[in-house]
Amino acid sequence: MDDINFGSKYDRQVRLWNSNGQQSLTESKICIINVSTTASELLKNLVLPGVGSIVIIDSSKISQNDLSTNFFLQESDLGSYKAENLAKNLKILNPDISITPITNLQLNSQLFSSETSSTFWKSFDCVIYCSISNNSFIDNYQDQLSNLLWELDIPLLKLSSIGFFAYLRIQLNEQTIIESHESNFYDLRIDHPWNSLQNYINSIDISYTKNENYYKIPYSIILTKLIQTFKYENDNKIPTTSQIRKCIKSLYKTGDESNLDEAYNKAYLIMKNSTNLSNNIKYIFNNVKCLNITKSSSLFWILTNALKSFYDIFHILPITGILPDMESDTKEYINLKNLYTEKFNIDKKYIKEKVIKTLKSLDRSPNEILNNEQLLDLFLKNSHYLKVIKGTKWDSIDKILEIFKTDDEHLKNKALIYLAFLSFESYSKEYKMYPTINDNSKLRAIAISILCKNKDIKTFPEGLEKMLDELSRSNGNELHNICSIIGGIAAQEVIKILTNQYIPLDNCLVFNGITGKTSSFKL
Amino acid sequence: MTRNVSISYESILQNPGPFTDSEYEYKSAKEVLETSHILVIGAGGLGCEILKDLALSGIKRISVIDMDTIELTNLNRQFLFKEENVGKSKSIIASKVIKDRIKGNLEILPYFNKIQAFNDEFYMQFDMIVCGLDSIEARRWINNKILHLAIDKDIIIPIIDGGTEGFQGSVKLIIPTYSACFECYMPLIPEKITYPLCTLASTPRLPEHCIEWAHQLEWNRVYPGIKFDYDDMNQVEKMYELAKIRAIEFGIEGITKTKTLGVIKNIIPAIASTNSIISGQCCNEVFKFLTGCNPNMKDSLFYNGENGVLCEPDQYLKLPNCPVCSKKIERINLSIEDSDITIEQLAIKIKEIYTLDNPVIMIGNEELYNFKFISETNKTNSLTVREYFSNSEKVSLNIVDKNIENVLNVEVIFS
Repeated sequence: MDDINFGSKYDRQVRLWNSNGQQSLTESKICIINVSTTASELLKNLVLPGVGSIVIIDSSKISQNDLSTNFFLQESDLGSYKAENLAKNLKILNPDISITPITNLQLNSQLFSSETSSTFWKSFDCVIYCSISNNSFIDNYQDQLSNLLWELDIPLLKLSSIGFFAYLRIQLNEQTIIESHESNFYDLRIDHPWNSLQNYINSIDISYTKNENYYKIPYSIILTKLIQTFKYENDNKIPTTSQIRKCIKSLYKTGDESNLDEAYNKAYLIMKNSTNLSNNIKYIFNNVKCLNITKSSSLFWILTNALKSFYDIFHILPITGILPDMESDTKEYINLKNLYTEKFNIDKKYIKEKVIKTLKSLDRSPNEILNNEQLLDLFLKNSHYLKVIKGTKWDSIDKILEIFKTDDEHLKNKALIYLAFLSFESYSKEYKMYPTINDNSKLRAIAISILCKNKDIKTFPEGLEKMLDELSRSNGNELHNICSIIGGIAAQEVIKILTNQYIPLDNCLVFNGITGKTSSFKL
Repeated sequence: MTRNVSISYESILQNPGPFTDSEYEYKSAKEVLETSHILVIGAGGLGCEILKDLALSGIKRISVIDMDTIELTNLNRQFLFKEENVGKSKSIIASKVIKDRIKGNLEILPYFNKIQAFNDEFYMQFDMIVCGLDSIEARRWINNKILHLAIDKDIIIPIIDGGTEGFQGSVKLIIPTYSACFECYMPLIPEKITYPLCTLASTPRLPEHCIEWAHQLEWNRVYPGIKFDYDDMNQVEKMYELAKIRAIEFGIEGITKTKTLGVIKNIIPAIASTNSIISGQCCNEVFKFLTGCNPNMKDSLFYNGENGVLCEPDQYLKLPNCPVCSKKIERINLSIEDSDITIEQLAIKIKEIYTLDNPVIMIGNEELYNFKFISETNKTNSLTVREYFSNSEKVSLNIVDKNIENVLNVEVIFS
C-alpha cells in the first residue's frame, strides 16, 4: 500500500487494488454498445472509480420510458440522443476521464461490417454489449462482433435485464491472474523448514526450564519444534492436531503465556503439507503455454515456466515471504521475519535468473524482467495463488442446449433464466416487439423451437414456463433496482478484468430478483 | 421497438406474475407504493444509491438523515456529490440532486443530524426504513428504537439494512418481532481488530502496532491539548511521522500514510459497484414489500464478488435469548381492590388474558406459579397479591408457554 493515491478521491478503492490496479484502470479504454438503464448503471460504476476512456455506441433517442428508469438521462434532454446525454451526465461524475458518444448510424454500419473495422476495436481493453435494446440495427451484428473480439483477444461482456431477471455472459480467451487476492493460508513451512530456518530453530529451546524467554517465542517455531520432537520420538509418525495441543499444554508455566495460547489455537496449521500443489497451480503446470515457451509467450507464462522448473528441482514452491503477526517480542519476530525475507530473496534470485535465461534463449531482452522488479515481487508473493481462466467463445444456443439434454436438474435449474432470456431475445427479433402477457403461447412456441435444435432434448424443462411468464409480464421493461444490481455485478467483473486482480466470473450468471439469488455456470 | 408504458414498472404492477400472491391487487399496490413514507438512514455510499433507487421505484415520500459532511474521498462512489460540494451536508445536497432530477411529485426531506436526535413520534411516521450505515453502533441504536416501538406500541416498521466492504456486501430484512432483529445477527459480526496495550508499548512487530502506539500513546505527549482529527490531513501526516520514528527504532518496515489513515480511522474499502448491488437489493425488497407484486427474499443475503460472483439469500432465525427482540413486554393493570386476589387467581387471570395453554409464571428465574405442577407450588398460591409482593407498586413477571414464542414479560402494576 503506497501513498500515490493517499487522501485522493480514489483513496477508498486503492485499498482493494493498490496503485498498480488504479493505474490499469486509468489507462484502460472500454466500449459499450446500446444504452439501456443497465448500461447506464454499469457505466456509472466504472466512471466513478476512474476507468480512463469510455466510448458509448447508440443511435437511439430518449423517450419518456427511459426517464422513468434511467437516472442519468434528464427530462430536458427528451427526444435527443441517449449516448450524447449519458456521456454528458456521466462526465460530471468524474471530470478526469474521457467519454465519447457515437450516434452516427452510417459509422456504426462500417464499424461492424468493414474489413478494416478491427483497427477500431483493437483500441479497446474490454467491450460491453447490452442486449435487448430498441436498436435492432446493431443487434443484427452481434455474431460478427463476438467473432471479431474473440479473434482480437478482447474480453466481451453481454448483459441484459428485464423485469425481475437479469443475465451476464463473459467471453474472454484467457485471463492470467497474479494478484488473485486468494491468500488464505500463510506459507510458514512448519513441515518443511529450510536450512537457515532449521538452524535458527535448533538454536532455540522452548521449555521454560531451559529458556527464560520461552514466552516470547513465535508460535510457528513452537509448532515446528513440537512436530520434529514428536516424529523423532514416534518412529517418524506425524502427530495429529490434538496430540500437538497436548504437547503445548505441558509448556505452560504461569498460564498467561499468550504465545502458547496462539500456538494452541493455530495447531491445525501442522496439517498443511507445504509440498502439495493447489489445483490451480497443477492446472497451470500442465498447461501447454507453461510447458512450451515461445518467442511470443507472455511474461506470465515465462514466469510460470520458471516456477515449474523451481518446483521440479526443489519439490516445493518458492516461499511467499509473508509472515503473519505472532505473539512474541520485537527482536524474536524481526529475526524470524528476516529469515523469511532472506529466503524469499534467494528463491526470487532463482526465478529471476531462470527467466533471464529463457528470455535470452528466445532472443528477447532480459530488461523485460530486469526493469520489472515490482512484477517479479508480486509474482513470488502470489506464486501459490496464481489463477488462469480459460474462457469459451460466445455462441447463441448450442452450449446452453447441451445443459438441457443432461439429467443434471441442479444445473438445468441454474440455466433456466438464461434459456428464458434467449427465447425472449429470439421473440423480439422475430416479431419486432417485446412479448406481453397476451403473447405467452407464442413465446413458449419460440422456446420450443429453440429446444428442438438439439435432438436429444425430449422434454420441456420444468419451471421454464413460469420464467417465460415472469419475463413477458414486464413487456420489455427494465426495473431500476435490477439494473442497479446487474450493472454493479458487471462493473465488478470489468474492474477485475481490467486490473487483472481478483477472479472474474467464468463465465455465465443469471440473477433472480424474486429470490435475490445469483446462479453461475460455465457455458 | 417500443414499450407501451411511460413508467417502466407499470407493466409489472398491472400484470400479476406466476410467483405473485393470489390476493394481489393492482390498485392497492400502486396506492401503497405512492403514499408510503420511507426513511433512509445514511446519505453516503449506500445512501446515494438508495435515494436514486427508491425515487426510480415509484416512491413519492422520502426522508433522509445524515450527520456527515461531504469529503473528497467520498467522490469515488457517492455520485450525487461533486468536488465543489466538499464540506456541505450530505443529506441536504443528496436531496436536492435527487429532487432536481426526478422532478414531479416527489417529496424528499433532508435531516442534517444524528439519528439519536429524534424521538419516537418522529420514527413512527415512517412505513419502512432503509439503512445505509457504516457503523454497527448506529445500526444497534435504530434497531433498538424500532423494536421498542413494535414491542411497546405495536407499531411495526420494517427495516432493510445494507452493508458493504470491498467486493462484499449484505442485506438484512428485519420485520420487528416477526423476524430476526439486527441484535440477533450480532454473533455473526466479526469483532473489531484491537491490539493489546502491552504489544503497542513494548513489543511492536507490525506497522499497525507503531501506528496505534502513536495514536493512543504518543500523540498526547508530543501535542498536548490538541485533540487528534483524522480528517485533517496535516495531522494525519504528523501521526505518520510519529509512527515512522517508532518503526525505525524497532526495525519495522511498511509504514505509509495510506496505512496510517486506514488504521486510525478504521477505514473500510468502498467502491461504487458494490454499493450499486447492495442498494439495488435493498430497494428491490422495499418495492416487493410495499406492492406485493412478488414475494420477498429470505431473511438475509450475502454477496461476494472476489472470486467469481456469489449472492446467496439465507434464512436466519431469531435468537431465543436476544436481549432486544426476545421479550414482549405487556402491562396489565390491577386496581387496589384486585390486590386482594390470590396468587392463584392472578395466575388464572393471566392465563385467560393471553389465552395460554399451561403457562409457567416466574419472577426473574424463580417459579411463582406452574399450571403443570400445581401441587408443588401451592404453598404460596393462597397468599394474596398484596401479601406476597408486600405492597410493591409493580412487579415484573416472565411467562413461558407453548402458545407464545420466547418469553412473555408482563408488568403488573398495582394502581
